[in-house]
Amino acid sequence: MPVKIVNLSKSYNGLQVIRNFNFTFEEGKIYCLFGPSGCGKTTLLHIVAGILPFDSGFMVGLENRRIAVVFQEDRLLPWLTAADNIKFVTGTQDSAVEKYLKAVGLEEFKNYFPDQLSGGMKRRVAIARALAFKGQLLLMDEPFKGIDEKLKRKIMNTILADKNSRQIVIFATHNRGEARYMADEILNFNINSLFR
Amino acid sequence: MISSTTAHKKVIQSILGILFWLAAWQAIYFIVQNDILVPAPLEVFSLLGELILVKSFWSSIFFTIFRVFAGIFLAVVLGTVLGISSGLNRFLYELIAPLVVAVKSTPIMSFIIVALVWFGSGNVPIFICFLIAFPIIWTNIWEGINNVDIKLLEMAKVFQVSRFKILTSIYLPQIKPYFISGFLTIIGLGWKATVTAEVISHPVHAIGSGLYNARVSINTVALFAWTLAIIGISLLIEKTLIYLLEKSQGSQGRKIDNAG
Amino acid sequence: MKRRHLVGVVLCLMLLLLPGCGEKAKEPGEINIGVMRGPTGMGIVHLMEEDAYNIEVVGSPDDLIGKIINGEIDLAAVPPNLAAILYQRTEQNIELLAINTLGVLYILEDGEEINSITDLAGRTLYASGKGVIPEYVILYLLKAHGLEAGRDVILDFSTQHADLAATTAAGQHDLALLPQPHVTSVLMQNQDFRIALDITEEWKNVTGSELPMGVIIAQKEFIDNYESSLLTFLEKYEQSIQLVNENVAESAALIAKHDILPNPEVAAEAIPLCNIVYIDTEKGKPYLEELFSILYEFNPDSIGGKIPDDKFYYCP
Repeated sequence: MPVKIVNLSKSYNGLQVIRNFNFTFEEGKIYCLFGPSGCGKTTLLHIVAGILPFDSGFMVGLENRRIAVVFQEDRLLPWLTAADNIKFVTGTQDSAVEKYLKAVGLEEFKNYFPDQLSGGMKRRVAIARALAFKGQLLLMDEPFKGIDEKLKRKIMNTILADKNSRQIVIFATHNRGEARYMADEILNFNINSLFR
Repeated sequence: MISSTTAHKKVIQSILGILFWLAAWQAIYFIVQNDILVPAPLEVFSLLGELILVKSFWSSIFFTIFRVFAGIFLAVVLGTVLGISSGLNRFLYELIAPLVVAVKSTPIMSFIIVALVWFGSGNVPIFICFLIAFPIIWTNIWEGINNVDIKLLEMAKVFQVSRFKILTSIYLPQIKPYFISGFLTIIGLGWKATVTAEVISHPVHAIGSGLYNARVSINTVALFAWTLAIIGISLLIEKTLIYLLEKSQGSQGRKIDNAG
Repeated sequence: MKRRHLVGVVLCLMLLLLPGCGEKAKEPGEINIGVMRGPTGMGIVHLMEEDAYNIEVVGSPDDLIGKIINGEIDLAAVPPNLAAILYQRTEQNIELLAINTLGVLYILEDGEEINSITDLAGRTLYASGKGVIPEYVILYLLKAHGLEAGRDVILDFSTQHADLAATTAAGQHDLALLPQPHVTSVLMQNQDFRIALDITEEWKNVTGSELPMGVIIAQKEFIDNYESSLLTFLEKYEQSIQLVNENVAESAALIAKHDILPNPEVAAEAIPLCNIVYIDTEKGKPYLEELFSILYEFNPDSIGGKIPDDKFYYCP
């Protein structure tokens, strides 16, 4: 079932960030929210994730959907190891944990704590966590920040390989290369509004 | 090795510090020339040496320590449970907060006098210790809950993590530093409060009763001796607890800051 | 010229002899006296009204102790055990002049069962004054009647005088050992209570001796250097005590006015029960020695570790 967004509006402090946004996200596809920072990409992602209330409009198709998110800030639990951070959301499934840590190139660091990892490595743990969760909706906010090209490509390939008929992927970025490589469809954001 | 010389240096410095104050004490004794105001260090230590051999000295210490621990234990259990609940439930917070403010600002003596009427002399000190410690633990835990990183809570919400797991894996680890700081504070305070209450209610086996008796017979040497015993034991307990706490944190290599 | 010489010599001789055989005198205004609130301070109230001497009222013994030790006070009214302790702690630099208060302890009962010490068997007696005279007096009386504290009679010393008076008046217990003025204040607040036992009488029955509970002491230095001023004071003090016992109403008003007791009604009722007296050392020494030896047996520290020797008692 597709995720349909109807007449969505949201403003912060008097500033209208999203105005009457309408869109249908089809299953099995990868969408990119493309545009410079501060245009509402994060706002939209947070609304869809269910952690940000909106002013008007409605959304269909989100019930019964497992949502996985890669946030702009890593949001890892500092007192758990990389592996435990993933287990925190997946329950204990060691094989999935191993698999996705390997997919992001961190299998040797599974027992490291976030304060022992670099920015890019923490990002990768967050990605592994989201992938291991196996959600039907995957939301990613600037996921590849701080990750070098070679690893980036490896991870993007993993996401593409995981693509299946029931999953929707929406990711936000200002990097044209990422948008073109991964997305089936690109939504352009700019200061004024959303437009296709 | 560098680490052992620095450790040695610290020990030597603290010993020198103590020796300095002992010498100052001796000097003040010479200047004042009045046994009742300032007793001679030698006499105090010698009396302490005698007391250590007496059974009733140790039973007093044992009972006082028991009272302190009982009061702190109650405060920790109730303070933590209520602190967490108050952090998660605004109504409960509004119910308990005024009580805590009142208790925090009431002088200990008011409580001691009232408690003497309600409880027997042996239990008043436990109650007083609890009253001193509870507001601190409750406040600290509540703050800890309130300061939980909301971003982490949002993340857990999105990933549909169970409420129980959120409590144990996000809230509890976050409040740990607040709890530890509160706990270290109440160790020292609870000790003082308990002994003070004992001086007023003078139960049969109590360090406070030793102080009371010294006071009643104007025996300043005994007063100082008991006080030294109190300081010694308090320090011992604090150091032991800090050591144990640090060991349990060991795997993460974190050092405890003594908030005391 | 010879006459002038003679006058000069006589004048010089007079100047040498007049100050009174080498003794000095202190004006009342220069004499510092300390008393505590409560029965031991009541006798001096007429001297306070005259305002000739420097009399200071304090709430607790601790305040007096410091001033006695450092010599700020020349004379003080204190309980006898404290006097003995001070005698040891000041290395015998104080002397006891007279007894100013006999027993002020009573057992109050909400009921009619206690008529003698032996009736206390099986009861719990709430008392105040742990470590000082009341505790040892009751322990001694119990022992003298074959009762053991803790086994035959439970003694509960958890509260101090004023708090015990409050809880007793509030009806929290039905049996209490209290000193004046708290006895009177309980009786006035709670009509259910009566005086079951007069401890002073009980003490007399067992020992044949009076129970001293308040004494006047003085710094040895003051006695040695200003004996005549001391004697003047003692005379006036004795008169004041007589007046207190004869003019109860007037004295009660003064007692409240000078903050010895909080309330003139309580003071008026309490005066007769406070046994305010003036007993000099000649008559009083045996009573004190009896008390001290009994206290010493229970706990030598209660009187400073030693029974005071004869030099403790002032001889004019």
